[in-house]
Amino acid sequence: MKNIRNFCIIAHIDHGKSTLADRLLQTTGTISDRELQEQTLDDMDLERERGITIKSHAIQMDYKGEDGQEYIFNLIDTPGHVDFSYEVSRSIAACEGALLIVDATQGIEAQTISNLYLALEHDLEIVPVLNKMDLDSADPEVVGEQIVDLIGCKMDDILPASGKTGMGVEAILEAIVDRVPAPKGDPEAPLQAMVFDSVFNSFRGIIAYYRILNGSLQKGDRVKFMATGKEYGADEIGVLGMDLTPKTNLSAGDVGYIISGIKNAKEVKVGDTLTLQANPCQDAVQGFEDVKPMVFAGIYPVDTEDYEELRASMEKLQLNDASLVFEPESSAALGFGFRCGFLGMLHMEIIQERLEREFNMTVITTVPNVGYKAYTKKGEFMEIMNPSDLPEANHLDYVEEPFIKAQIITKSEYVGPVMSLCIEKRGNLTNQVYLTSDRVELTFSMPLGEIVFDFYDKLKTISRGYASFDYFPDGYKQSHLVKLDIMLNGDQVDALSALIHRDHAFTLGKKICLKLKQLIPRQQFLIALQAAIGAKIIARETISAVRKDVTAKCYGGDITRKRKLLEKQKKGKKRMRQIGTVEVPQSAFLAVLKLD
Amino acid sequence: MEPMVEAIVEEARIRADSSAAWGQKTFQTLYLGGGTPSLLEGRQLKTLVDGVLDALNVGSSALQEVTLEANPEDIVPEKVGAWLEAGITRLSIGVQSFHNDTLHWMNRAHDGEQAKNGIRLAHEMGIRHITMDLIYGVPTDRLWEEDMAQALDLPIEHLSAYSLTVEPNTVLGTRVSKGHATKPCDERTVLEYQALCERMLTLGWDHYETSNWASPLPTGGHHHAMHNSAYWAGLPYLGLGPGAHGHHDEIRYANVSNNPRYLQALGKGLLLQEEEVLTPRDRYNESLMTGLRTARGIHPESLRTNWGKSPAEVDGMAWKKALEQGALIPSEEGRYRIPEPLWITGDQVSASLFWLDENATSCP
Repeated sequence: MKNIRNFCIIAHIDHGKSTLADRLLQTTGTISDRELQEQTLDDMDLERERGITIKSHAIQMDYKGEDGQEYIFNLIDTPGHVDFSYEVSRSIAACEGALLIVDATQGIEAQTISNLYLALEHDLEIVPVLNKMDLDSADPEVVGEQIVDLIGCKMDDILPASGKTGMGVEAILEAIVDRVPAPKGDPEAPLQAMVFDSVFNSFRGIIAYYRILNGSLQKGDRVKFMATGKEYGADEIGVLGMDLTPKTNLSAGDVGYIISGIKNAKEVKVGDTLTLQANPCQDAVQGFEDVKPMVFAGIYPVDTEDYEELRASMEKLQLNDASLVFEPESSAALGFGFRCGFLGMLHMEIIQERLEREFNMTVITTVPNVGYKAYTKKGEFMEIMNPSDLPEANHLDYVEEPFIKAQIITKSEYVGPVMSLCIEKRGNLTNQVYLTSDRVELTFSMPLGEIVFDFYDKLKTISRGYASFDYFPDGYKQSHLVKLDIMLNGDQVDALSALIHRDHAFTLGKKICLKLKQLIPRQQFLIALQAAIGAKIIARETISAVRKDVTAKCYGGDITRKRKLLEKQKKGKKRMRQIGTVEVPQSAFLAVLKLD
Repeated sequence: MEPMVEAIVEEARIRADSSAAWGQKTFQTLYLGGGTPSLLEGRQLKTLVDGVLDALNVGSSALQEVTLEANPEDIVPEKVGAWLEAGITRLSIGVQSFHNDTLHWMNRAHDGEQAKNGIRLAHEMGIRHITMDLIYGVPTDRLWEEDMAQALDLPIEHLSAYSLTVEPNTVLGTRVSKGHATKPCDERTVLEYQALCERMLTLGWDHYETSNWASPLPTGGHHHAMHNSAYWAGLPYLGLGPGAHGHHDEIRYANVSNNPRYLQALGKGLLLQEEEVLTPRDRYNESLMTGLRTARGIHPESLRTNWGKSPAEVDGMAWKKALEQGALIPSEEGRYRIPEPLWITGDQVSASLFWLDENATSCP
């Protein structure tokens, strides 16, 4: 056990975590140069395209230290987005140390700080690394001081590195040996292992990843998951190299996997404790939570006939993404579909994209919303996951909405615009700290619902990319919310309804109508667009009818071009949903998210 | 001009020699246009026509229609004489309008009188088959009624009417985008089109394609444009010259449109072209698209025999919807057509019936 080192990497997106991780794999000979694909750890296509890690992963490396001893390194990769912060916290809990990677040209970002705090809470040994030192714009003095301020280390403790050139990689490996403590734990005690991730394999079912804290596990043991209470046989156990490497025995300190014929991701919960049926441990590992969705939206098939196929696809998706929750719902405008709960906006986008790519489904996603609490005058309480379910105004007493504590780190020159944005989004500044002379940490109390509506993009724009953002749930507060309805040719479209703050209703109603006018293509008839609160119309626009669409000439040289044009036209139409007589594109359902 | 004429004749020779597809075809029509061939000197035109026909091994008497596209200002006695000598049997004249301010607005070199005189002259000198182009939906103060009346007062047997379209990267497109010119308005465009449809109907002309009308023949039938009808029927065509397209079997090619590059390539005896291999699905879509622009319409059974699917099999919902809405109506011999009043929005009907590649991945 004394030669095992379990560590994770804490870094902001784009700070070079994956590149540096690849260097570690390469230098330890875990993968050959030839196998080294960019960002080896992110093996889902979507992850590689977006340059983010959606799920956490783990990999084992063998390292021969300068002291001549053989070490086993387990690198546990953490997701890099706030939507997945619970998974991050579990990955961190599986480690004794963390590499803190900071871009020497950029400095510390909000995401880094919140994950760093998590790591410090779990008493992880932090090994600070200044990455991208090969760039001319690297500023090791200033960024180094930020790190010293933050974790209280010495300037000399910070390792200069470059994932691109390979500089400093040896020193990092040695620092892991020297500074990260070996795991502690009693191999003779009853098995106590924490599940920090699970993946779905279509042939082998669910593969759960865990860290053994105490005890040991043999192939063939009967195991039990403490939170779900389910029991299984350990058909295969092993460690995570570039591929799964089966073993017959794993014990305290080890990071491994288990395959036990589980078919559904819901049965394996991140944070759960794995123990033996015959000799169970007394206590579960602390910190288990059932992750609750933060954002809700309806997902509907574009073609109503595809409802059953959509259900099957969502069920399959849920097999490997337990954080996706859904239940059937029906909409007057869209027919049958599902109300889905997501961890956040990115999670929602990922689900939609996976449905399209992996299951070839064309879906409409409705305006996302957060979960509200509604109280009626009779004193009843209702959880509102769909704005359409809000009780009529005459029965409604008040509504509470979820708030968050938002942490934003930006350059001091952008403090003004960032503040105005947050205040416009109904935020209250609760704290302001200068991390260095030109980097400020701002803390706001804000409604989560405002983050859903185009907050992140705007923050990036006004700060020219120099602002990072993270948030934590901060309870529910009463708010003056009203339901804004949209009508197409006089018919209310429930899927376009949104709960918004009373003070913003008029401006938003106008903006939404204008945006919809741009997004809904002209059709053979005139379309009236209206925004209403209750019976009161607060904005209107009209989309004039197409009177003419035919191109006049169609001779020899025109045919190919015209065929391609019409083909494109039909493809666009196939992605539209018919509401009454009006064909509405997907973009219109998300119009409310992209108002200027 | 001389090198261009030589290059086009050379192209005809190369295509006829190198491809069995053309060697065995019987050519029925010749069309000189898509540009301003009337700019050619009489002698050059004859060299071109003789050269091309010789290269393709076609006797000039074998052709049933030889059309020349001409600008009104080029119609002068010497040229018309030369055209007749070169075997031209039909003229297509780009009149557009007889209203001088409108012609000026469209950057045309001719005026209304020139156009009328030119058409009368050509007809008197013996070119019996004359068609002209008119443009409707122009945002000037011309009276469409007057343009129509003046056109129909001339000895023409065929009329093409096109709506004004503002294309980007043209003089007009730039002027409109900069706000120096008014954009054509849909309402006016539609009204003028409808007025033309009604007027031609009362005169007994056959509105046989979205933009084309043919006058009645004394013997019954109408003066349809043979060459253009071949495009809409999906027949093979050989295109020659820079930017020309040709089509045979599943092949469509497009010559490079840059004149110097075209000349350079032909100078070395090479064809510089892009070739497209049409799938049955492409050819189905093209048949549907061109067919629905004509009064004949489409024949679902033939679509199926030729390309594998009928519209009802391609997209049953769309087919049903088009029939229910009356966007498609049954016509003779199991055919279906778009009724004339809906031709002006015919693209959406065609597009709705298109056959898309089911296996193509959809892009988010």
